[in-house]
Amino acid sequence: MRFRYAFKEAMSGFKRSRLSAFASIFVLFVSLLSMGTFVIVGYNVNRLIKMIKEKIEIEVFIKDGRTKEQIDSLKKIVKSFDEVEDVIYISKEEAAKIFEKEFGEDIFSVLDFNPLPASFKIKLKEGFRTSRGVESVVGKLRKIPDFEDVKYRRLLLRIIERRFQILSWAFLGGGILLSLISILLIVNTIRLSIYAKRKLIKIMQLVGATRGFIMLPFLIQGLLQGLIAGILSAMIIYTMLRVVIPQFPDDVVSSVNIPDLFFPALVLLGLVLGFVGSWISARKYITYKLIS
Amino acid sequence: MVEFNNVSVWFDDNLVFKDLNFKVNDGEFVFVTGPTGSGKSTLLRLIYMDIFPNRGKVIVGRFDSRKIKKRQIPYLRRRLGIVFQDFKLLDDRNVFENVAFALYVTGAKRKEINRKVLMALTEVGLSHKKNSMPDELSGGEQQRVAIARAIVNEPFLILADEPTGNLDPDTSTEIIELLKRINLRGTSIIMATHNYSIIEMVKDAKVFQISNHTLVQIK
Ligand SMILES: Nc1ncnc2c1ncn2[C@@H]1O[C@H](COP(=O)(O)OP(=O)(O)O)[C@@H](O)[C@H]1O
Ligand SMILES: [Mg+2]
Repeated sequence: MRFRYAFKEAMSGFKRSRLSAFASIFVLFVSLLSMGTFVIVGYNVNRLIKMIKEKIEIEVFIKDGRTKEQIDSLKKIVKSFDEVEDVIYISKEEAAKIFEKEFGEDIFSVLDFNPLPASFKIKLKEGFRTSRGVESVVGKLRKIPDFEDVKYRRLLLRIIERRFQILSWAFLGGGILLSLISILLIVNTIRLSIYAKRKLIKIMQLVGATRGFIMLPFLIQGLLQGLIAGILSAMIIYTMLRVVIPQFPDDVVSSVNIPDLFFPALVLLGLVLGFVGSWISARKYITYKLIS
Repeated sequence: MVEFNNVSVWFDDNLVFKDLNFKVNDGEFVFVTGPTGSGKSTLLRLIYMDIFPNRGKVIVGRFDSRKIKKRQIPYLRRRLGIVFQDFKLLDDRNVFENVAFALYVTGAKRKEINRKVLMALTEVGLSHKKNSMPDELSGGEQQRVAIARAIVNEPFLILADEPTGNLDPDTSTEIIELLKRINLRGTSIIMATHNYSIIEMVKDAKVFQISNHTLVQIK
């Protein structure tokens, strides 16, 4: 009964401040839409970067004339580095085969000796696939006199890192800003609803309704606004993914991924923002003092 | 039952009460009178604890203004019936619903609400108008609905702030007769008014006049 009453009041609160309720739902909807899009873009870019980073390897060339034992112990040393996940040895012969595969020419048909050095391909552990991690390993490798030259794609890594950082900051900043704006708008909508119902509230205060009882309809109103905005934005994003993305080439479609629980989380975020806004407003304007 | 101990109240530099001592016993009918702005409404607000004394304390039943927690205030108000000059009815609810509202917000059961509301409406002589909307009633009838709402919780004290201020003399008399009847059943009444002809209608009432920031008993 108590809840039914609160729900009824919440609905009539909607009707009375229809314009501002609509405005705050709309802004909350746009915020959730942008945040949702950001999350999907961010998530996929992140995935892409991870995939690229996985391919980032360091190649170190070994000076000629090292015995098998020497190479084995070198491999052990490199493998013992904290940053290193795996080390693959590529002998001079294997290097020649790879060369042949790539250039379609047998190197021995041109030269009568093998000019290609033996090398290690070094794979880093996930947490060290950064320019800092790479440079640290490279620094250590350069101190070992058995190695000749170190090759790695520092520039690519740097660019990826910087882009990704900018994207994450934009995502975080934009999300926070939009959430704040939505909360402020909901605070205002609920304030208007409270003002429209000040007579009702005053009577409730006079006959001894508790503060929670008086606040409840307004909290429900905030939650409803959040729910509507959340569901709307989830529906729009879902439709966009379903309708718009298939217009792109297949490889784009198959590479777009949606994080688990994305849609429930979006609706939940709407509910949370709606609740926070109405909570702030109700706490501020409904106190134990008679409303004026 | 209601006790003011050395109560001082001021708003900014506007002194309303200074060292006020005042007591109302069970079952009394008390008038508080004084010119507009002398502090009648302030006195009542101190009792239903919408404001608190700057100095001293107010005791209402088992509630003490210096000890009461904010969240206990609603429970104090459930023990009081408060009536105003402007009735404070909800225009979008009928007579029954207006009275029921006071029970509703305290979480009473539907059956209990029905019984108590009908009793209160019978008491004020409006049971036949329970389905009317407030704007279909005369001023006197509206005030009687407000009184029904005030008594529906069976309060020990009714606070009436110029309840006849908007009513003509005949209707005022009816309202006072109604309050007298309620008082006879044991409910205390504190009424603020600056209308002496109303005070004269209640023979054995105590009358206090606000003067020099305190209450002086004149009858
Ligand atoms: N909330 C308030 N803020 C400032 N002054 C107030 C407030 N409430 C009452 N007053 C002042 O206190 C005095 C007493 O007011 P009130 O109790 O309403 O008088 P009455 O009911 O006898 O007409 C008046 O001077 C009024 O201006
Ligand atoms: Mg007054």
